[in-house]
Amino acid sequence: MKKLFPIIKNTAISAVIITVMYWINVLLKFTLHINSMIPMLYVLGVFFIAIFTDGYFYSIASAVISAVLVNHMFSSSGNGLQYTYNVITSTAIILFVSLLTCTVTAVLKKERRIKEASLRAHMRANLMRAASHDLRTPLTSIYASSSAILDNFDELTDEQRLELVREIRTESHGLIRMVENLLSVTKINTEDVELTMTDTVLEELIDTVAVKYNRHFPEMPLTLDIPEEFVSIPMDAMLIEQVLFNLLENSVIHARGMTELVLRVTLDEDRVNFEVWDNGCGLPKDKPDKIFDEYHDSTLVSNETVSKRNMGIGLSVCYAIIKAHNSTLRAENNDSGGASFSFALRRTADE
Amino acid sequence: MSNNKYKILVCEDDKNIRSVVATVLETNGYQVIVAGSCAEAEMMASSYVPDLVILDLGLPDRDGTEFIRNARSHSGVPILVLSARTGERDKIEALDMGATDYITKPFGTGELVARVRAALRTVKSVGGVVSKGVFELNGMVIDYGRRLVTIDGEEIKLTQTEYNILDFMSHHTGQVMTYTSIINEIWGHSDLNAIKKLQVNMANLRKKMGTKPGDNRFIINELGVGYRIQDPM
Repeated sequence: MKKLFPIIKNTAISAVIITVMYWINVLLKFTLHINSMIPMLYVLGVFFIAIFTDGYFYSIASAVISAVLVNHMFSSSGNGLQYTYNVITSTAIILFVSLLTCTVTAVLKKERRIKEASLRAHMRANLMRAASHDLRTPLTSIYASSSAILDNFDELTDEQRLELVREIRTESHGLIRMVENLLSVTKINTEDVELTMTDTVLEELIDTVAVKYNRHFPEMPLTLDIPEEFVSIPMDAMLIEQVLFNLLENSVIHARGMTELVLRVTLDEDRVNFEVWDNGCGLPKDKPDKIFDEYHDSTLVSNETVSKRNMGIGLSVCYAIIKAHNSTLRAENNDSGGASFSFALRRTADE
Repeated sequence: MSNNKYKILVCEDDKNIRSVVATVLETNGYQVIVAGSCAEAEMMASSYVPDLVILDLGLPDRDGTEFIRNARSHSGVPILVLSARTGERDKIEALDMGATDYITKPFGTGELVARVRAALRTVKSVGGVVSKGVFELNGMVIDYGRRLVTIDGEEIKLTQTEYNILDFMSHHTGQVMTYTSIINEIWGHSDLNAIKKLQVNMANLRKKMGTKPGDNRFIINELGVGYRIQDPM
């Protein structure tokens, strides 16, 4: 099915364009009696086909068909030999145009691919840099705490030893979260993004996120504001769960002075809008959306506000996941002065 | 008698994890046998006949799922999968193949012990207890004889299907029941809309039980995999 799809798509595009050109010509010929435009319009048609289809095959085939059609329209008079000659000449001309276009578009398409690939490579390199920085901090702490216990076991009091072990566990938790995020990035940044799209019940998604949130941050209550009705949304549930959790975690860690944290979901006709709302200190005033750009800009990755505790990776993971769902993650300051992160998902599968 | 302890076979190739798991289980009063490969595990399983197998899927010689398939052809020993594979598909595959439960790495030892306890409890109930008596969890009482469910003393009115789901799940507490396994049990067959049908029933159940998202007193969501009823301790 996957293999068949491009063939069907390309054939359909070619057929539609040729048909449209044919009817335009018929219209011109019989209403305005203009014949001179016929070859030009077919050349234009083949030109479009060359742009919108993949490879050479479709444009060459269209060129031959167009040539036959051109001559069909002219050939109310003339003998058989003349007809064949005309077909060959116009095929040659149209073919030439189409081959030229194909070559040019192929070059353009290739260039775009290279550019995308290098952008991805660039992003990955930055993430790795952010990751190695973010990984080193908890690792240092774990290493230091465990060495302290091993080297000074007898000198430490029970309380001190417990404190160090607790430290190890807290830092390990941080590491676990970070590795989860890194794995998702790898999943998304590979050439063929493979999302596991399943119909997910909104309530179950929110429940899973809320349970996880309450376990991690029992000290900061989360308010849920979600619709009552049964909604099922196609998504990669594990990834979206991660986005929501990352955003909530981001608020807990960065929104200084926050007293209220809300996870809100509203329904549109064809979309489901998710919002993580807090009334903390808000995002930098000048350009809230910039918060995502920073992870794509290597010079800013080591910036302290960004790389503090995992969020460097966390937010850029969110951004990438939402993008892979054909949507955009937006960051802005809300009426309370705090930050709002929002995105929308389609209620029915794309296509 | 010293040996009325449950025997647990721990099959894991990483030495550190193996020894931590073994230590934790031993301090909790279980007898532990260890294996480092699939072949070794199969040998140990046939000579020691453990009450429970804790199995890592990424073993050096063969994939752990093969162990599950082989074991299931002749034995009902509960198998607790311990794996670094976190995808829903991996979980569903292992569970539907016959694994009793699934824990993803990294895990807390508290969680491990709880799952071990739950998995061992299924040995006793599988093929045993007919729907008699009552089930109690956090204020919810299922009276199997009268097919009646109450929460904090108040009866909640359930449809046949809703009751059957709850009944089935309460016989497998602590374990994840995949969508497929519940569907097969309740409807006997699965069609295209079966999962949706199950999800709608679960949504109604939650509504009738009065649970809000984030409150997993009764039924725990395993997103994309299935549902689990908490183990009443």
